[in-house]
Amino acid sequence: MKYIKLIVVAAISLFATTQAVAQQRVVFSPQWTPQAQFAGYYAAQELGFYNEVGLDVEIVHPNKSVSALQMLKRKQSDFVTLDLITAIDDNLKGGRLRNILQTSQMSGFALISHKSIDKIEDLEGMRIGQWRAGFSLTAHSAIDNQGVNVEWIDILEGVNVFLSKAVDANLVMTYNELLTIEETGYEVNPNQVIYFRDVDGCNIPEEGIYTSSRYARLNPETVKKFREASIKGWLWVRENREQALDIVMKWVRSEAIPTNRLHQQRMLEEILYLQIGESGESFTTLSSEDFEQAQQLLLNNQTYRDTTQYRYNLFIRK
Amino acid sequence: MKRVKESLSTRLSIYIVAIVTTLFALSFIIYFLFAKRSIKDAAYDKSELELETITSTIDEKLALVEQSVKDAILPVERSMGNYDDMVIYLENLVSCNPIIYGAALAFEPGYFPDKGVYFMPYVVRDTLGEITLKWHGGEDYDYHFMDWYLIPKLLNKAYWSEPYYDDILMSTYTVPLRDNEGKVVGVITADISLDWLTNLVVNMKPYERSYAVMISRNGYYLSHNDSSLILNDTFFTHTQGLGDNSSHEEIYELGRNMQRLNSGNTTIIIDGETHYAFYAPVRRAGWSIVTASLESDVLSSLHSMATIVWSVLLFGLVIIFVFVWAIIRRVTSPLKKFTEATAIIAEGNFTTPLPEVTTQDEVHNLREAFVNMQHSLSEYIEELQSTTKARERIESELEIATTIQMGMLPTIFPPHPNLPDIDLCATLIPAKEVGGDLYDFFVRKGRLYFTIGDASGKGIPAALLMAVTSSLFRSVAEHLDDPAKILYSLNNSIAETNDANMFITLFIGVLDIETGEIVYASAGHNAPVLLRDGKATFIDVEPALPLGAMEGISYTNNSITIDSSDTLVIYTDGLTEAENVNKDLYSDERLLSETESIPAQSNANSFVAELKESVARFVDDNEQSDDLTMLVIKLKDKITMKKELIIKNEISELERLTQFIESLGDERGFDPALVMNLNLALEEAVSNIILYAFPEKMGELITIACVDSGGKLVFTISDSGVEFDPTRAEEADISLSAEERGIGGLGIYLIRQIMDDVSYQRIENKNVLTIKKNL
Repeated sequence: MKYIKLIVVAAISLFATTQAVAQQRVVFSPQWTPQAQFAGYYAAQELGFYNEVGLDVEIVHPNKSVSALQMLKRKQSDFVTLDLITAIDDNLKGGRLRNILQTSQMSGFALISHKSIDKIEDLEGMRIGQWRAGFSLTAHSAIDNQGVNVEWIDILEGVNVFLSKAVDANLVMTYNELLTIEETGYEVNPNQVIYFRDVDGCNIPEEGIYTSSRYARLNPETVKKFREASIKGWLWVRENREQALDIVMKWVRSEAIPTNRLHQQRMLEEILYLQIGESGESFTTLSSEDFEQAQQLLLNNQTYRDTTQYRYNLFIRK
Repeated sequence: MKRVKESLSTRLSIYIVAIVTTLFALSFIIYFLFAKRSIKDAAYDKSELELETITSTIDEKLALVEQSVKDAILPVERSMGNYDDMVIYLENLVSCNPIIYGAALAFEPGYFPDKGVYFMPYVVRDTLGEITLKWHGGEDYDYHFMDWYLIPKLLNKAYWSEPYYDDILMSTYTVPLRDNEGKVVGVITADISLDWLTNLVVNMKPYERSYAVMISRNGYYLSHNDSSLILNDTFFTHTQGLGDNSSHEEIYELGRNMQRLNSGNTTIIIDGETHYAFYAPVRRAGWSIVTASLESDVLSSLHSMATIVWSVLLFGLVIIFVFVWAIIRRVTSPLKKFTEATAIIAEGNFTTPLPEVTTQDEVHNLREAFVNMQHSLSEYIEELQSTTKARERIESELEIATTIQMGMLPTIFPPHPNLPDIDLCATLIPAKEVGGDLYDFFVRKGRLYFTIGDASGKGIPAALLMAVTSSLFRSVAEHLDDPAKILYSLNNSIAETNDANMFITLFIGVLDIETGEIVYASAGHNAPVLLRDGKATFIDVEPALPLGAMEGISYTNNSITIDSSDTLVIYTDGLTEAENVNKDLYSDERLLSETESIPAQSNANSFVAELKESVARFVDDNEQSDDLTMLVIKLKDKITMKKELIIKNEISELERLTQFIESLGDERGFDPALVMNLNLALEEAVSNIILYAFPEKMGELITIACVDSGGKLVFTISDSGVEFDPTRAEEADISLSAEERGIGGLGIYLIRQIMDDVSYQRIENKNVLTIKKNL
């Protein structure tokens, strides 16, 4: 049945595509290599939700040398996904990003240690792995605020450094590395993990869709259409998880990502959990409170040439 | 099932086959379990050996790589800063070790200030086998953060990296390079391809369908039949997807044991199939190999042997069953024929042929017994038939004898209608067909001779003795008046010819009807009972021997005198010795009390009936054990007058009747009205006889007798004419005229009106009409 449904939807979308005389071409870059984190966009593309609104979306993933943010800046992409912290950081540095949809409603950021840790203070003197590409600001802020001294070790990716015990602890995403660690047979005890969503001032929502202020100004309709079709994609994923996984696995295989379906399935469950959160809300426009909290976190922990606060209203495009 | 239960041969065969099967199955199971264990042990050894071979092969190669890299460290350190020499040593490392795919030196950022941040010469063997030098490092390839560099640097020790894809599946061996202070300044690495290793593992097949996998330290597949799983799946993510009928816990534990670099074996279930898993580590690199063999493969030889053994057994069981069944059937088949023969014998056919038995066993003995039984049976039946015939004959003769015996006894009561003074009744109930009791009476010369007796024993001998005694009594009493003398004579006659030593008790009485005196004598007989004034007593009887005991015994007379209010009961011991079911006797006491309970005015007939009823009540259902005989004698009221007139059947003779009655009235001083009424009634009765009793006959006689008995005038009119009972004639309908009324009806009506009682009897071919008038 599900395949028949897929075929019908695909056929309809194909029909729609041929009907639409002028499809607007759009390049979209998720912020990481293919995985279930981006299932909603893959589904919207595969099922023709973008086509339906007149968008011809090409999904181009970043690579090890060029990040999604860089692709946006170089105008290689029209839309990208970014963490809220990254986006605000960029704006504070003079960037002009516009948030057009906030998918994540809470933080999926965590820290795992070989030894059990009851509180942040227990990390004192530890060697902690962090992504060289970033995403660690929340952890830095939380640890620095407690006056705890740690040694930060930059790593590229993955969990091998942690598992080889070259580091005492490692930053992880609840929807990715934490799951991988479990999947290697490492038995994770709950008191080995700190979830930043449970730490005061650190529950910063993550993924959102961004575009440049210029693009948003010139293509307000496109922004709106892309936002709506992406929401539609995610809503479909929620109801059709197995089919969504089929689509994810196609992407994963085509880009030769070393992963497996079980991992992607677990990732999808966690991502959807982070989207809906405990409040039960989803796909709201980023709240000003979350925006201010994130900006405050940055201003308190980073040094900016211009410390003028960015305005929420400028940041949001609906 | 019913047939199985019925057939001995089938049942026995099944039992035997069941026992054989059980024994065999038990021994086979024991054997099977032992064999299974040793085969399993052998499989463990085999797999262990293969695994050991492979792991040591791998280990040797890895050791070679490790040694080669370590050997290169010293020259490299010595030529530090001399870049060309360092590269030469690096090239030597690759060219001298075919297993090494590529080798690199990589240093900390800015270690060689003139080389900038990145310094990483990399020597690699290309597809043609040519060794080329490349320079790696840069913003796009910042090796400082790569696992193969970072981890051994942080750990400060040699390290085999987690295998990874870089066109081919490979792993990198890294040894840190240290400066004089021991600080890590860079690393030297050697890359090896793992393709050869994958092949080595995949091709390890101890059994046909065995398969082997190798996992990395972090659980990732390095080698698997399904190459799409390699580096994508961990042992745990993959096996978690196995079906529900897999032993997930055991499989998970297996994976953990492999990660801990243990070796051993375990049994796991994958999709319902049992597998023996053997695992051993490649410690040097932290890898682990497991081979899984299907239990059915390992035990296939055992299973095929089991199949053959069971087939042979099944065949053997069928043969045993058929043999046993046939043998038992052959042995027992005569039994079936015997059963049929028995059924025929039971129907009465005693000569039916029995089945032939050729063997000399128990069945033969059975046949002998059957033959004997047949003979005995037919003899017995023949005897039974003749006995039955004889008995039937005797029984019919006995019936005749009973008739004769009963015929000898006087059975008409009252016996002498012309002796109105005596009321007498007797009964004899024999215990068997013919009895030994007797009674008799007759009247001679105004005397009633009566007797009652009981011959010893019962049945025919007693009956014969009774018959003899009875006829002797008749003939002796004809000319002897004295009861004692009669007894004396009878005794002599019986004793004289008494060869059978039988005897008979006898009571003889002679009643003088006029005086009521009874002279009696008893030969050992029970004393009769006299009921007088409501009191019953035994009359005095002289003790004496019964008749037939010996000759020449004399008997003594006794006498009593009775009147019309007395009743004399004479009986045999069948009365007093009647038994009920509890063996209680009727007894003398009961006889007396029962006699007293009977109203004194009852006539002899009802007296006898009452006593019989009393005995019947007492005996109830019990069989009668002895002859029961009773004789009851009563004397009627005294007759004070007797007159008789005989006339011819002529109307003119009625004048004589009138004179007879008038003279009777004169004599007795009757009221003239009574005389007139008597005359009217008698004239009516006699004229009827004259007119109708003798059709067409003249000169026939009619007797008219009159007696005065106890205040009662009794007229007895007898004639020998046509039998006619005037009392049965229709009561006259006096509402009709005389002409319309039938003959006699009015006459008898008139008689009844005048007289007090009218009765009719036909005695000795005579019509006897008795009419009574109370005075």
